[in-house]
Amino acid sequence: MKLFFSGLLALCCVPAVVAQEAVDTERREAERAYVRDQLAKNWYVEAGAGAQILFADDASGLGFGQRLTPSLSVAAGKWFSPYWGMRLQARGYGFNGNTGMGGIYVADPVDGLVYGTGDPVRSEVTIRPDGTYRRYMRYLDVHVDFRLRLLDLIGGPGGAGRWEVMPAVGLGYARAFAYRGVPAGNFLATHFSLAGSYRLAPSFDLNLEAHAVLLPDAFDGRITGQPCEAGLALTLGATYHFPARGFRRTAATPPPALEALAAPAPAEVRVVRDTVVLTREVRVEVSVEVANEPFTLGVVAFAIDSSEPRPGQEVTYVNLARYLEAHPRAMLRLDGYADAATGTPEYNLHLSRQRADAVYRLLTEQYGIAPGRLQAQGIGGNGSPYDQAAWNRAVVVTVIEE
Amino acid sequence: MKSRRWIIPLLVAVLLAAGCDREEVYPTYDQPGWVETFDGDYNASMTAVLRLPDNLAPYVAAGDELAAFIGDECRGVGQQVDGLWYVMLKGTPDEQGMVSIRYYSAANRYLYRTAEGFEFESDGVYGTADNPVTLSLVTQE
Repeated sequence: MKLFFSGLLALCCVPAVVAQEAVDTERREAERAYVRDQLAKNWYVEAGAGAQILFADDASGLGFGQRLTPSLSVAAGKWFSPYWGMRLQARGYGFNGNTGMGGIYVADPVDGLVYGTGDPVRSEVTIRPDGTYRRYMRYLDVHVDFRLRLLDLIGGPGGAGRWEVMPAVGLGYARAFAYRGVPAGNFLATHFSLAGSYRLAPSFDLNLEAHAVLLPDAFDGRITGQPCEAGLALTLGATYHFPARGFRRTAATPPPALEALAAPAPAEVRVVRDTVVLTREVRVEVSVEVANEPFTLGVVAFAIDSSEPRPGQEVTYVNLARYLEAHPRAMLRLDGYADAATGTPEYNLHLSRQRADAVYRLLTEQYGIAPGRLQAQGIGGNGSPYDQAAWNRAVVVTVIEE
Repeated sequence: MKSRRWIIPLLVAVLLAAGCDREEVYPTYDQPGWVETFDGDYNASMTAVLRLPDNLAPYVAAGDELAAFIGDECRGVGQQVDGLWYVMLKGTPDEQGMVSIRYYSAANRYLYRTAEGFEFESDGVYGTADNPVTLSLVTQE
């Protein structure tokens, strides 16, 4: 008898375990999908060029113009959230240093620990009559930066519009190449930077970056006893963001309804021909919120001070009609605009409404689109979507629901 | 925006151009080959023991020359021993000319002279081996 009840209890548990495993599997799969989705987004590459200057002992003996050298950089990075990201950057080219009095030289080892005063640079460069001379350095630095999006942090994601300010701190490896007497060497480098960017296009940013690097005293092959040498670069560059750019507010965990799978449901236990039959009904209601962000489907252009669409845009109307036909649950919003450069705000608002209504009538009357699938509104001259005035004489068609 | 795109390459070019600089060039001279070429009857002498300033010490080379002049007349050619230059100057007992030192750096082919001279003194001593006079040199104009 005891054996019978033990077996019955075990049979009752099996379906619950199976259900729990199903939940865990789905949860893990959902989490993996989310992680894959996030890892694939917000990657970018950038390149920059500019000038840099070295701050080292005796470097002030050179004129400011003589201290400037070209600076080149390339980088790839990823934003892990609207607020922070990481970047792998390679930068370098050259520094111009200067040698005055004193110092010992890495290229002149007296023994394993002590260096001498013989500098091979002297035979490679022009010595000035006062005995000083320039040090030409060539280097490449590879480092990883931790970056913040300062304006997004302060004003919320996208709060600063097209502008962004990005401070960063990083650690890397600097390779000094053997060049004109300066010996080769490998050094740990600490980086600080402040970049400002302006979004030129959805995928392209223009950026201006001030970049400081701290290097060991021996970086230029000369040891003078100062704590470190520093380089400062100012570069102008461009950033290309791969198309999957931006962040959606997506839950990192599967929908809560999946939790229902884990809850044990009442089971009906019957014995049929000496066999225990356990019947359990598991009803799962999965409500997954699909984030459909509005996106622009087309633009209908108008002449200045006109509420009649420019001729020759039939292909746009046909495409709109086809899209609605292919997506029965889709709705379109017609946003009328007027260029802010001409007309009063009141007149522009009136004109933009007329334009939206004109497209609304045209789509419903000539292309058979159901009126219930369209929303028309006039926005006026404020909040124009484009920089060029002529482009804002338009009705922007946006898919708002599907 | 398209009309302003030329600004970007222009700014990059300006920054890069700012980082380019030409090699410095200074006047250089051939080996002077100084020798004592005085015609007069110089029966007085003076000894000078000199050392180069620290900024030129690293460039001492085999072809370096140092000589003492009164006016344009070479009154003595220096001999280098253990980093010091020993010069025996010739003159007359009542000589009152100012002595200037000229130095030729063979490594860099630069010619120097002392900024200020010293007065010739018969049997006089200008610096010693234990306390040599460090030269204050300027480039030859």
